Amino acid sequence: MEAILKVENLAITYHTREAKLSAVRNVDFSVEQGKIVGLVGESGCGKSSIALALIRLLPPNGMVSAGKLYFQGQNLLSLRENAMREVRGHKISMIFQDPMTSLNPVFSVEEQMVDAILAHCGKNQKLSRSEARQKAIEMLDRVGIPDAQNRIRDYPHQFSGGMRQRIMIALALQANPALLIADEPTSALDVTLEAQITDLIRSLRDEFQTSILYITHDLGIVAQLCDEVIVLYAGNIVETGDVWHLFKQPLHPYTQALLRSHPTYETNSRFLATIPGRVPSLINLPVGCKFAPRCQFAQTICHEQEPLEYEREGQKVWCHIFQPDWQQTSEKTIIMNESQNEPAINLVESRQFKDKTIVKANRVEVHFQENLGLLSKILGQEPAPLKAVRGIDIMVYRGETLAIVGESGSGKTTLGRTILGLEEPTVGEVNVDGNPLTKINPAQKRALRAKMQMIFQDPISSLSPRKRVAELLLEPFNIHKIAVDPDRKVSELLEMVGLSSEQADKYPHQLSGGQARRVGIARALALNPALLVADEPTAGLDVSVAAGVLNLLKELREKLGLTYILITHNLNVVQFIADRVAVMYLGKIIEIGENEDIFNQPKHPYTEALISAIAIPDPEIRRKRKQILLEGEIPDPRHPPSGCSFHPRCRYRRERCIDESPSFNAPMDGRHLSACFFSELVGRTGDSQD
Amino acid sequence: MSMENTLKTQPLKFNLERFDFILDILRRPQGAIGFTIVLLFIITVIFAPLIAPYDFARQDIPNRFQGPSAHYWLGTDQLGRDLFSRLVYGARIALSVAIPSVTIAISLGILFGLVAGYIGGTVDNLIVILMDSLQAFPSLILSLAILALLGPSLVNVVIIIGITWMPNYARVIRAQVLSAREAVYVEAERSLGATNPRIIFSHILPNVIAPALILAAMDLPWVITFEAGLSFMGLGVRPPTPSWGVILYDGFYNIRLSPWPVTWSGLALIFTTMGFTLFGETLRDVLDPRLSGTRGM
Repeated sequence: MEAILKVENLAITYHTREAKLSAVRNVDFSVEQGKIVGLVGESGCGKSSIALALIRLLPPNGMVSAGKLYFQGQNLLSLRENAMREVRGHKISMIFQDPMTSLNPVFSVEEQMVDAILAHCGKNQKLSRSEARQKAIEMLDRVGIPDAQNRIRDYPHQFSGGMRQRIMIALALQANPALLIADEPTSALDVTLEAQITDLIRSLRDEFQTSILYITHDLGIVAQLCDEVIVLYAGNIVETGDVWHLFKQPLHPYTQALLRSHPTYETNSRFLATIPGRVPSLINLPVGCKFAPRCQFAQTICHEQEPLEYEREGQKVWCHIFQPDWQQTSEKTIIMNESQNEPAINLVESRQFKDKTIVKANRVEVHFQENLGLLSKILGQEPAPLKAVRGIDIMVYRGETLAIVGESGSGKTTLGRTILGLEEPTVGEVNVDGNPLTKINPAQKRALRAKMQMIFQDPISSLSPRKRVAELLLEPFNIHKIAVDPDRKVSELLEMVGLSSEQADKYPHQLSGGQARRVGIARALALNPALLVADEPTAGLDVSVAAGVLNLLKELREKLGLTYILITHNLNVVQFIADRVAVMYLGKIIEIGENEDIFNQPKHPYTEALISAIAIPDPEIRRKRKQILLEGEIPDPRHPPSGCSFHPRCRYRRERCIDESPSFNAPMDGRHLSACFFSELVGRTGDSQD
Repeated sequence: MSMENTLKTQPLKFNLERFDFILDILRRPQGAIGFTIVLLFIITVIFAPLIAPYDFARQDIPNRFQGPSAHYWLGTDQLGRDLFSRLVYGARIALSVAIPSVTIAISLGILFGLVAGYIGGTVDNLIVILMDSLQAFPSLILSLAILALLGPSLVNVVIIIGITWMPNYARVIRAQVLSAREAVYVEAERSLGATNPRIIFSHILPNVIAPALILAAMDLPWVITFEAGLSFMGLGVRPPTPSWGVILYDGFYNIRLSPWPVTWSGLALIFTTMGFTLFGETLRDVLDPRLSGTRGM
């Protein structure tokens, strides 16, 4: 098979005011015709730099300092700029991470697509505008834009995120490129959309035989989608191989550690393996193997010499362990993929709950009304309110971890905020620890805040930017006028969340994502709350860092007897940490039950689809299960569908679902309940799910 | 133990960081020029009695309208007063008008801006209407009208400049507060149980004040010229107080007899304005959080 792209000895450096930074070194790989190659690594490992170097769009201070990039036998680096422009978009296309900003907002989709088609086909084919338009519509249709004929005239803001990513893909593929570079194309999307997009990419590859370089940090997606994998660490390739071998028998300690830090159901009663330290900053890269400072097997040689290549059955690894002169210090030298994770202090079974409720929500509804202009007020035009939460009854027991799961727009964050009294329920009542939140006065509510805390989704922006960590951690005590010894308290709190006391002097923007997350947790725990609402605690964190945060949450739960409400769309996290799971769809809970029951035998078609969309880092799953792809996207919550609000996307729907709305008829006492008329059918008709 | 140490060294670190930011300004050429001029100006203001060779009011009628000489470095005016001494003392007047009036403007502006932005609704609308009405008048006309009513004096000039300049600050602060109010850290504070005054003054204010300070640095030269303008029209400080505007006015009146008073007072104004503007612009570049990333690389 011929290689479309061959990268030889690539090195990329960035020039900054302080120094020349070496971002990528000695990178060799090739992409063959019709293959999907995954480029994996944590942030700061140089993935995106490689992608930008391939299309020669590195930022002005970045340059390819060594190496050759052969594309269809031609060295891209020796091309002149206008010849390169021919290649870009025509022969090599790129899909970017954020579909919200990569389309031009002032032009309609038609203008953007037609222009792109004419720009690339104009010379040899002489297309007319209407032919180009026809071609654009066909392409949009192919990537799954419903009613492409009419919608092509719309502007980007009229499409949802998933649709925009499809349009980006259509734009990228209109010239039928030989190579498609996809830079984290699904990381801004929900799980079900992610499944749709990866499925689309796979089917487009099958159809057009396009070679794809897929850049991601998510090992789950790589396992599901790619043929070959390249693992990058701090600008070096540490391991390459085909997806089956690499996941079955990862050779490099970094690859092994990454795989072990992935949360799964199997790790529920354990802690995740973490990688100590973090990806080195480019300013002071270690000598020798770049991973050595974090590697549990590192020996003197690792800190002194760059490792050489070792090849085994097509799998290549750059690690000293495989060199003949490696000192066998222990029998554990070559570790394989067995779970080495440390068990959690107490197993889940030993924790007691269900004797006392801490949160009780009764028929809670939260509506948002848009601010109206004066004219519409006079004319009496009142748009329908946005019902973010539409009637929820829920009980949370002391000491348990309840996960609220759903896609964006399902109302899960609003529910969490309402439980904490940060949002007033329009209808219904929330009762926390015996205090009805809607009835107590503001001063009582402020006092109650000491008992319930929130961990916010964005770790850095939830910390007041002009305060030092020490001040932030003392803030709760100052607010509630509790006298403490400031120095001791700060070091105590920092120690509790595993940070060194040096961090006390830093400002939030000087912290890494994981450190900021820990400071947020320390602040939330400062006043010994009973209830902690965690909104996407691992969002935006690298796998190894996220693993540390999850372990911390688990450990603190056992130590302090905390009750968690975990709001997330990441089902891997849910499996790892939750006791009970509530699945939300369009402002309603559609299924609730014990973690085990939900994942083993989902009773609602939506839950079933969500579970099948989990990206598990094991390519074998690809053969075993068939993904249930949901059609379409979550509907506009302003106009929810009639009857069961899930029926337009449901594969079990019958007449009845369109008119009648299913609901729980039993109180929620921890049993497994599902709001579906045909819950006994779910999981039976389709493929087995383990 | 190590904790104690780090906390104890905190003031030192803080000073070092302050120092860093001055260095950042000096590293840029226009910042260095601006900083030097501002520094010279301030030294002049503080040490005026030591620098000026004569009393600013000492008259030497026989030697009026002299050009620069060894005796009178920059020459003399229509009453034979030493121009150099008058300009040196004039700097005092310029600053003693500029600083208090800008302080009044920024304090009132911050207060109105914070209240309008944070509370919103009707309060916001009323404040915005008030600011709009103030700004609807050209500030010079407004000042002339008020000074005509109250009578010309240094204090009145300060108050009037303060009030006419205030809406600019209120607008800048209000716009900043509107976005800061929605920030996650504000919500995080609220979820900790913080009261509104605490959120406003301890968390929002430090995050919104930088643009207002930069605006103030850039407004200082405007205020100096504005005061000179009012004095030029005879509505500012009274003789024999040596305001640059008064020197300019008198020199203008006698320009056929000697070009020096106009030249020197004009140059003093130009240099000071330029110095403060360069300094203010560099300050903005240095303080702009989007340009001063300190994380990682």
